[in-house]
This record gives sequence, C-alpha cells and structure tokens, in this order.
Amino acid sequence: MNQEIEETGAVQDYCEEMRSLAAQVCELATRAGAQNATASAGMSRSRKVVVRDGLIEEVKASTSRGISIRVYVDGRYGAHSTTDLTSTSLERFVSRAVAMTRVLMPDEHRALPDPSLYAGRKSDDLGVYDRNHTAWTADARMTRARAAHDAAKSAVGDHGLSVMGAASDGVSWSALVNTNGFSDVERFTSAGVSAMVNVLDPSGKRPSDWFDDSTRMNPETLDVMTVGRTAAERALAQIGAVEAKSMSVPLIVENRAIGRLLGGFLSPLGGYALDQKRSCFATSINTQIAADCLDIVDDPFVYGGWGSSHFDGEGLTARRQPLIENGYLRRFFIDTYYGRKLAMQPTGGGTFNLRFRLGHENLDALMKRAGRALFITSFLGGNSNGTTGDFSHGLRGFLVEDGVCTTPVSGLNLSGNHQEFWKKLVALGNDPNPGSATSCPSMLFDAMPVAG
Amino acid sequence: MTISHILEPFAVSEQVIRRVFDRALSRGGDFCDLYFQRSESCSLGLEDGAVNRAASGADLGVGIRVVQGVETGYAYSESLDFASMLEAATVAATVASSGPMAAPTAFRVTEPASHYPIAVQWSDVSTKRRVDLMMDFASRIESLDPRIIKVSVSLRDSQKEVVIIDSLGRIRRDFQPMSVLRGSCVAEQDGQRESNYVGLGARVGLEFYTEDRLSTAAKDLVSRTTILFDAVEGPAGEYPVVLGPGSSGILLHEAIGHGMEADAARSKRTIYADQVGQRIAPKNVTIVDDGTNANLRGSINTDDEGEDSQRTVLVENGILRTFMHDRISAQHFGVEPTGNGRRQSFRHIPLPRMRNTYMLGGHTPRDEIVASVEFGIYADHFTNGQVNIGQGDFTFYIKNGWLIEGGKLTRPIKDVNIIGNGPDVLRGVTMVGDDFELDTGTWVCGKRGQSVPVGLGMPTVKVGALTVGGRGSA
Repeated sequence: MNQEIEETGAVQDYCEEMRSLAAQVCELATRAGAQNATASAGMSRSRKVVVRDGLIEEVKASTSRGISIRVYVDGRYGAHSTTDLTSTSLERFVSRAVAMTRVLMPDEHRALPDPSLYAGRKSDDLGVYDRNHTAWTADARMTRARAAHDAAKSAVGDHGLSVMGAASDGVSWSALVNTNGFSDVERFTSAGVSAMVNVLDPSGKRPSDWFDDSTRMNPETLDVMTVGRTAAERALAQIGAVEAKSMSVPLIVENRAIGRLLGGFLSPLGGYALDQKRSCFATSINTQIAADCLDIVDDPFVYGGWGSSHFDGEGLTARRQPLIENGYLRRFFIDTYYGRKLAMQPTGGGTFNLRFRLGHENLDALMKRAGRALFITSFLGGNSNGTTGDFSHGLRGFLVEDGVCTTPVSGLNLSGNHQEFWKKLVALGNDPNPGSATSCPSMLFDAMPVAG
Repeated sequence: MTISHILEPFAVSEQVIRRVFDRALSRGGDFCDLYFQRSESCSLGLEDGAVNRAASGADLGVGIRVVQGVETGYAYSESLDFASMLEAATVAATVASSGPMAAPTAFRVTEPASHYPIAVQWSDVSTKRRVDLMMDFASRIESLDPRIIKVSVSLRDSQKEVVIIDSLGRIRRDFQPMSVLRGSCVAEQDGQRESNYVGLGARVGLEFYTEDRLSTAAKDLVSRTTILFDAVEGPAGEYPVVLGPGSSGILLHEAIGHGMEADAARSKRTIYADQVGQRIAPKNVTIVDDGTNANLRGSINTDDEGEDSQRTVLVENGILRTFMHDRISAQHFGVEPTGNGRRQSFRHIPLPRMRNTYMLGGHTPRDEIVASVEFGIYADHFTNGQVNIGQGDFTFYIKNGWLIEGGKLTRPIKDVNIIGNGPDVLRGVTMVGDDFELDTGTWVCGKRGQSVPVGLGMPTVKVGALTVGGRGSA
C-alpha cells in the first residue's frame, strides 16, 4: 500500500487558470444581461488516510473544482454555483442564473463593494502555502497515520477498545474576480494528523477522546507522537466518570472547548442579526459587554494562521481591527450589503484570525488560583439564542479540588446569558489553541450554577 | 431500461465503465462500486416582505470505491472524462493487495420501488409561482399577531439523480427529490424580543404546500414565538420528563439510534456492541428505522450502495434485534444488508446511517401521562441534539416546553437543554402514548463530516428522570 500514484507532470499551480475562469464567468454574466457580477473559482486537492485498529479504514483522494457567481441584474440579486465546468454547461449555467435572478423582487441595497475598499492590499507572504507540497507523499502520510495510531495504542494499554490514527493534507488554489475592478488569487496548503481512542469503563460505558496537530506548511514538523499519546491519556482520564449533581463553582473552560461559547457570543454581532432584530447586542457598540481582561483583535496577517488572507470574500482589503478592547465592544461584522441596508461603514462580514490578550498563567496555575472549580473539557450539544443571549449546553470535564484536577464528571449542563456570562470572566490563560483561526486560551470564570 | 440509457445523462459509455472497473480492480479487492451523481438545487429567500435573493447550485461527479475486508480506498472526480475517472480508480485501487480481479462481464439494471411519488415536479414550477407561495406564507405569519416585527421565509428544492454500478454487475438508479420551506419570525413586546422558526421538509412536489398546511405552520410558528414572552426559567436538576409527540423523535435518533449503527458496533465503540438479542428497554418499546414511508424526508428507494430500502425493526418489545448495516458491516457480522448505507454525495464514503427513525405508539392517552407527573417538564419542540456514542450521553435543546405541576401543564419554558444517557433513558421509559406522530421537520443528521436528511417520529413518552439544565428553582 505504498504506491499511490501522485499526479506527475501535471501543472502544479492553478491560480491563473482559476482567475481566467472567474473572469470568463463574469464576462458571460455581463453578456447575459447582468450589470455586475462577482465570480470565485477554486480548485483543491486533498488526501487522507485513516488507520483503525491496525487496518487501513480509509484511503481517500479528492480533486474538486467549482465556480460560484453573484449576479446583479436590474436591481436584483442571486448567488449561484456549479461544479460542472465544461464550457457549454458553464454558458447555460450563467444564462440560467441571470434569468432566474431577473424575475425576483428588486433590492436596492445589493451592490458591489466601493472599489476604494480594495486599495492598500498587501502581498507579503503569510506563510499559508508550502511550495514544496508536490513532494508530500502517500508514504509519509501513511507513516504519520500509523505512528499516531501506534503511539495511541501503546499509551492506552489494556483499557483500549478501538484506536484510530489519521493523517491528511491538501492544497487549494482560488481566484476572486468582479466587474468593478477586483481580481486576485490565493493559494493555501494544510496538513494534519489526529488520533482518537475509545476505552472501556468498568461501568460498561465507552468514553473516547481525540487530539490533533495541524500546520499550513512542513508536515514533517507535526508532532505525531504527542498526538497519539495525548489522545490515549485524555480517553483514559475519563474512566470512572461520575454523574455530578448541581453545583455553583468557578468554571475553567479548556482552550479547545471554548469555541462553542464564543460562537454564540459573537453571532449576534453580524449584520444579518442586527438588521433582522435578532441581536441582543444591537445597541452595545462601545459599551462594556465583557470583563476588563477580555481583549480580542482580528489579525489577518498572522504568519501561518488558519484565517490569514490579504482580502475577504468580497474583496475588501484585510485590516487589523479590534473586536473587544478591555471588555468594550468595538466592531460589528458588516459586509457591503448590510452596510448599505443599515447605513453603516462596512467592516467585513467575517473574521480572519481572532487573537486574545493572553494571561500569564497556564492551566495548572488557573486551577490553583480557583481552588475548587469545574474544569470543562468539552461541550455536548445545546444552543444559543442570539435574540435574547440565552444559551444552554451540556458539558463534560473534571472536578478541581484544592487546585488540582480530580474526578471526571458528566451529565452536567451550563445555562446562562451572553450579556452576563462574559462579565464573569476572571482570567485568561497563556495557552492559545494553535489549531484554529480563533486562537482561544483557556479561561477562568466566576462561580456559576451548573445543573446536574 | 438499458445501461446505455441510464448512462446517457453522464455522457459515459458501457465500455468506459468496464475499463474503469478494470483499473479499480487491478490490485484486487472484494468489491468495487461507482456512484454517479447529478444534482440541481434552487433556493429563494424572503426578507422584509420581498423575495429578493436566489441561489442555485449544480453538482456532477463520480465516486469510486474499492473495498477489501473492512478497508476502503476511495476517490472521486468532478470531471467525467475517461482520464479523470481512471486516475480516481487508480487511487481507490491502492487499498487492495489480493491480486487482480476480473471486472463484471454483464450488467443488469433493476428498478427500485418508488417511495416518493410526486404530482408537480419542481422543474415545472416557475420562479413566479415560488415567489407567490413564499409571499403567501409570509403574509399568513405576519397577519396573525401585531407583535410580529420581522418575518423571513426560504424555499429550497433539489433533485438528485444517482446511478450506482457495482462489481457484481448490479445497476441501480434513483431520482431523489427534496423540498424545504422554512419560516422564521421575531416578535416584540414591551421592549423584549423573541424569535422562533418552523420548517417543513419532505420528498414532495409543489402539491405538498396546501393552504391548510401553510396556515397550520404559520399558526404553529407564531404561537410558539409569542408564548416565549410568558416563559419562565426551566428548573435545574433531575426531573421526570414527558416528551411530546413528533419532534421528540430526535431523542430517539441521537440517544439511541447512533449507538445502533453497525460501524460503531464493529469497532466496539457503542455500549450496544454486544447486546443484540438482549433486553435494552421495557416491553412497550418498539423502535423502527424505515426508509419506505411515502414522501418522508429520510425515505430512500435504494440506499447509496444499491441495496433496497426497507423497514428495519431495531428494537422489538424492548429486545435489540439488529444494528443498521452498510455493506461492509453486514459482511463483517455475516448478516444481510439493511439498506442503511448512505452518503452525502459522490464525494463521500457510504456509512451506516439512519433513515426515518421512530418509536411505535402505545396505548396510554396523553392526558393520563401528563397527569401522572407531580412536578416535571413537558418537552414540546426541540431544535437540536448531540450524543457522545461511546458513553451514550446526550443533550437536547428544548425551544418550547412546559412545566408540569400537579399533573397539569402550567407555565411555558424555553431555551433549555435536557441531558441524560441514552441507554438509561430507554430503560427508563415508563409510559408510551397512543398518539404516535411522524414529524415533518427539516432534520439533518451529521456524522463523520457527512450530512444526510432524516425523518423522526414519536408518540408521547414519559421518561423517569432526566437532568434539566435550567437556571430556575423548582
């Protein structure tokens, strides 16, 4: 199983091909009667191998190509996409997209961005594309998957039920072109390794946990041994979990778990939520919505960052922008459409890399500081209501007693309201999660009731 | 129906298919299949009284799979030219090592039974007609209550044509329609705002959206939104829970169903792994996973490995009868496939997945069930849920519910999670209502990065004790 045939002699950069495809589609749209259009074309290639319990569960290879177009026709708007790129299909696709858009009701707020917002775009290397990706081999991928699997298997010992190691990598090329002057391309690479371990608990339950490592460049730097070993250790730590009863204690939320809470906190800041009166933070700009210690900046230029780019999905030039400063809300996520509809300055409808002002303590020190607390390692399900700010999530984790992590607990639920919850933030850790564009550290919150 | 007729929409010849099989089986393997797909979708959006956004999508491609034992090689191509398909076949073949195998010599086409007859195909429905339907639905919602300040509506339909050809020479084709209508609204009262949504999803044509159905959905949405102003905090702690009929089926899907998918059983990751033939629920509990219900969201004529869809009894009078199988797991356990091998698209490997999963009705009237609870929760409407398969732990998010006090529904509650353990809850079912209802919601099930449409159903059921994650006190 070592002779996967990597394409040889093929073109290894498709950016310009994607750019001319996008330009061609814009041209077709104009010819079909659209006044304006934005097209994005992309091609990606990915490879994955999964090893479970010593056998190859899955070897997967994929090559994707697709195009999407946003058309502006007689004051109407539509967004259309296809993966059928033969030239006759493409022509039919565009003319149908324009025809379908034409019979909608008009929307005066739809327009391409103000071209002045394309200005000042940088082009320096963001460390998101490994030129050497053509040398990434099936052998190396398989070796990483097996190594993670083997490390997990040896660390889990007799308690192990099932062990999985996986390795993947990919490359993508894309172009964004519109009819009022924007045209640019991007290329990204990524590689990752992960492990998942299921163990047998004396109760008959079969807890599992995972760990991973990922990088934009240089897959050989992935720490496969740590990934395998940590997945096993985390799964083993869950053996003996008890169903805890309701309590009111400080909460420490692990860096990789906090994204679920943060997502519910940030979603009411979007243009859609503001416009549709579904935002509990609609009047909160420049007011304090979190504790002083919360400081978040959106930084598009992090070297090797998962969200790094010089422009956003509309072509707006990327800027470093504060989101929350010392607990004060500084920005909504406003794209061109909602900017026009709400008479606000566009700030970009999404984020690049969110970076937090880190604290000085590691996880152990946060636990020591809290004394008796609940350490939350994952959330299970639940939902958040952006209109009111209410949220409710199941959770798993550990009791912290005398500043030390002790018994694993399950069957607990945290309910709260985002307008209050973030004001209870006491401290941030110094351990930003490297695997995500939103690089959260672990966080310590004041005592909250948890239901069990 | 001939093979060339079936392959025509994909512009591929029988000869090309043979050569792709030759390449895919060039290193051996037990089994190989090609999954061709062509799909189109259209969706329209209404905000602020105007249908002013459209989206459409077209998708085309083939997935090639080679299976040896429990090992799978998979590759797909979005281009159906010979060279691209050969390349994909070459990658898929790398998983095999048993020595070259012969490609099928003859192909035979079989037509599956049809479980989703449609009167008015969406391809025959004009944009204008869709716009009218949406405007009508929006105005029904808006006119029901002066507190409604925002309404949005979306209508989406899709049609997927799939052709599955396997190394046994079997050819299966299916056309899978889907339509989803969603409405959501925001209401305001004394400066307080609340929002909610309603969704209808099924394998249906335009005829599904009758005046009656639209008006019922609009009323349901508005009453479930405005009642939130009166809602109190749910309690915190363990209480008896009465699950209302219909959408409570999500509990069954998440907490029980996922643990009965055979891939988890094969690698011993589910608590049910060794329990076929054993009692896992009281006698009044029978659970079915059914792909054959007319026009339901989770119905399929054929699964995505070409097996006939069927009605599979998972739990019969409390006894676990079978897991849900795909081809690999059926082979592993030495049983017949159950028609549960499903995939999101040609980009994905088939896995054992649920279809329409429901608990059959019992004999107890709903009022009697509610009356039996001194203090507890009645869960009326859920939005989502998640389960940790190995432990069986689950959570469900109640958007609308009630407090039960002294055997009566007293005050509404909202936005609260209930959490519990699937196997424990199933054992703890004490009463099963006579009011079985299939849900027509827009449920999507996610597993290993793949989403497939599913259906749910449930009678009113009483569960001994679940943790309610509220903030209030009892």
